[in-house]
Amino acid sequence: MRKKKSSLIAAVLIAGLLAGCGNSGSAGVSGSAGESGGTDASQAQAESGQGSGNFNEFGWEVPEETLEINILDASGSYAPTEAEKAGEENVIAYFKEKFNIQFNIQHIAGDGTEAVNLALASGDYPDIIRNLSFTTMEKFVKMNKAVELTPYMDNIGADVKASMGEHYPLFLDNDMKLWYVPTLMGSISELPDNSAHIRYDEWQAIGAPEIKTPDDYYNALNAILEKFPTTPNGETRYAMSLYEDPDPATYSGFWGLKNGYKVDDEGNFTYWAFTDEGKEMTKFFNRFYQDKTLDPDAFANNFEQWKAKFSSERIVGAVGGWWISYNAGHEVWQSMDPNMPEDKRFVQISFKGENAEGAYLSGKNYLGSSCTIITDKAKNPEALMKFINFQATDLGKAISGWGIPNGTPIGDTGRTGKFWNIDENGNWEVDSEAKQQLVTETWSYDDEYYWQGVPWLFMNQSRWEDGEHNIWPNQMWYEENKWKSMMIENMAGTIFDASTYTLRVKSDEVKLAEQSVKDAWKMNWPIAVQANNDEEFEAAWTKLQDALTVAGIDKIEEAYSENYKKAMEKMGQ
Amino acid sequence: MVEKIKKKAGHCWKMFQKQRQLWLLCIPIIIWVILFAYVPMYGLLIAFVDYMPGMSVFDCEFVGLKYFREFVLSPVFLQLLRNTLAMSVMGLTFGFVAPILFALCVNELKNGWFKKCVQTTSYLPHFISWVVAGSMIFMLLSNEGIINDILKRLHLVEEAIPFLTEGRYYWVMYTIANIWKGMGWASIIYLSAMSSMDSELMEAGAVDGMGRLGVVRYVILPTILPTIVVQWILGIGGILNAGFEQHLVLGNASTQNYWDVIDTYSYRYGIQLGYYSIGTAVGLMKSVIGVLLVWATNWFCRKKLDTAIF
Repeated sequence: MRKKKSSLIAAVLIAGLLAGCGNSGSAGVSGSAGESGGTDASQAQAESGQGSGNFNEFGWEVPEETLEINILDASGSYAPTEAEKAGEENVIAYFKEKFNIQFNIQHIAGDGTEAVNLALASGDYPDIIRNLSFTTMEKFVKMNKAVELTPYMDNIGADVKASMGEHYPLFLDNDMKLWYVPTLMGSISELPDNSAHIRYDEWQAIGAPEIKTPDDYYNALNAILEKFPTTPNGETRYAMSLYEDPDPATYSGFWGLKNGYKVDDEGNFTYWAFTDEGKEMTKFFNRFYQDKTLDPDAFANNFEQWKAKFSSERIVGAVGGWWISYNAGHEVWQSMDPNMPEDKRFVQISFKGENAEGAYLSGKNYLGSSCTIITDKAKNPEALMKFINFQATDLGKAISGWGIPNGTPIGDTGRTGKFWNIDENGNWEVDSEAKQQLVTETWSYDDEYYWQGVPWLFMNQSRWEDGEHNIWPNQMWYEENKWKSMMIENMAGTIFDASTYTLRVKSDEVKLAEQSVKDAWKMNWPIAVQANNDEEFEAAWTKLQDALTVAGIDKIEEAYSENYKKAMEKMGQ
Repeated sequence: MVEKIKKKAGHCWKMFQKQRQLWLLCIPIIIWVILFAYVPMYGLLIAFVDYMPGMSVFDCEFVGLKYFREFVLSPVFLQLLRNTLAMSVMGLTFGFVAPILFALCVNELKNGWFKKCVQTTSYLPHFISWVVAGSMIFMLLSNEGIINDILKRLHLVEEAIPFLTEGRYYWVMYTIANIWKGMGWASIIYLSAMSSMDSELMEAGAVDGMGRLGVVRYVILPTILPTIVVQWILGIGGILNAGFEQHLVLGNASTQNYWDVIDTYSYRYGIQLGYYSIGTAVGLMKSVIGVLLVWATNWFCRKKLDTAIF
């Protein structure tokens, strides 16, 4: 009896174990609708996505049978809010109804690159991958798992090619073949990425001294600090603060470097830490530290901690993205006090080192920083390319950037919201109320999630040919917004085309050296900034240079120089 | 010789026959171990090839010890080793002793309700994630945190002590944070060893005139020594594991010189950059060193303390 019992238990356990082994899932990837993968059924439907002759108001030829588009979004760290989830559901339903397209979108909750590498290893990836890094894209190409797009560029992909414009040759590989489209390319040439910030009302209170040089900025911030040394709650204020991942390469733009490099006439690159300009930049921050007006937690703050400090008025000045003082400044204050004085806000300003030709703070990379590929799983890549091309048209950009037109319910609030309207004949306009709210900065960014969420496969964020519109609802009509106009005016001349400065596909040697270099400056630059005296500063600066040399900065300088020269050659310059 | 082997094999077979029901019960576990602990080990081959996800390991180019060399010759290797060993040794020194002392103290508590209360409370930090613990530590130790505020108000310091932004404080902060988080939980095993102790021994000690310290020294500690030794041997095996998520949460650019350890390096290069061969090589190297250290410590403990794991 005991024998039988133990045999039975063993058999059950073995069966359980084997049953457990039978299931495999794709860890870290969550599907929002349907199943992924290029199934025969979905491909059969995809094939029908051509040539019905029935065009909708967006200019899309609606297929007779549903076109399934299976997408893996490789951006990672997907943690949507309820509003974002609802937005994606609304978009999926809208595209099914109006376009007869079924989006099946997989998102990645963890690290995007890691998940895509695993997907590649297991062969479990769908027809399209968007937001893919260039390095991972290269792996797909090397393994013949990406579809070549060059043959489509003069026919069903013509709008994509037109969008790429003069930069088209830079997307091609050495054999002049196109394997991907950028997920997001182009730029708004007058919109800065980075700037210095100063509290406008306080700047006026000290007599609005002119700020043209780093010294001017330093003096203005300290003058404000002297006049308003504490917050209304009596807390200490600091002239300058930073938060996680400070970016000395960008900061060196105030001293005339571009993307952190000094480029000579022959196209040779020198890293900021080996230039006088880079040293001046570091001394600028060190001066705040030595004067004890730099936030002592400047290198320990994460963005949320920094935002808490900034929004409680403890920081007088900052350098970084143009939006940081919106997000952590007056947008917070306005939400707490609708009657807040209009000029209690930060403004974006620029200055340049005395010997610098100009301040180069925003290197616009028209080529994009991630890409979309059609994989070998797609049995009818033409149908997918057709949709990608639709996103290059004006109405494709409108629905992808501005979201669902004509009104979408905002959760269960009973309200509806929209940015634009379109009628059955394809006549469209930006909603006048929405425009007014954006111009007066009373627009609810929380509401717009409900009509946003179209997966971008190819998107060009440059201004349209009409010179007015672009995909970002809040980046139009600058002239009608006093503060945006001021920013554009203040930051004129700080924006440059950095497409040729961008090294997208890197060799293993360069990639490893780049990580080592990043480690080296991340470890040593803060020490130089936090040096207690000039002697300590010099020692820290030498240590930084030594660490960068050992880390292989020469390999990176060489790779960037070579890439720049090749890119200039490709563009015929 | 052949005769001896045959005899031994015969003995084994007899034992197996005798214990066949037990072996039958073990089959699922053995299969599990083979499937999930040994079969995946073929992945270690990744350390010796230029691995590309999506390709079979056997199709990738064999590069021998290239990635081991790259790691050892990398400019930060010595710094990584220093940080890893320093924090591990501090953990093994203070972090190892703390739960023993705590268990001894708890064992001395006579009030049953109070004892349970102390024990349960001491386990709580173990269940707090490092992300939450990191926020608490930031609130306590930042330049404007509670500790600096108290020190300033008591006029013990004029300026805030940069606990979080100056590297030299990092190892101590990390060790204290680890002790706070793990001491209660790690004490369970010692308390359990003490609870199985013969109470007559304690009574005999008391009759012999030993005070509380005497009982601890001559009765309790010798009783739990095997447990301590086992924990020590296992701890030595993990000497190259000096934390991972703690550093990502507690560390920042200013202190990276002190918190960057082998595991964080392996994460950056192996996972974030997608160089699985480097990550595997570093992991394999750590495992081999760990196994060697366990053997050596086990041998030492068997010789000197007459206690060992195997």
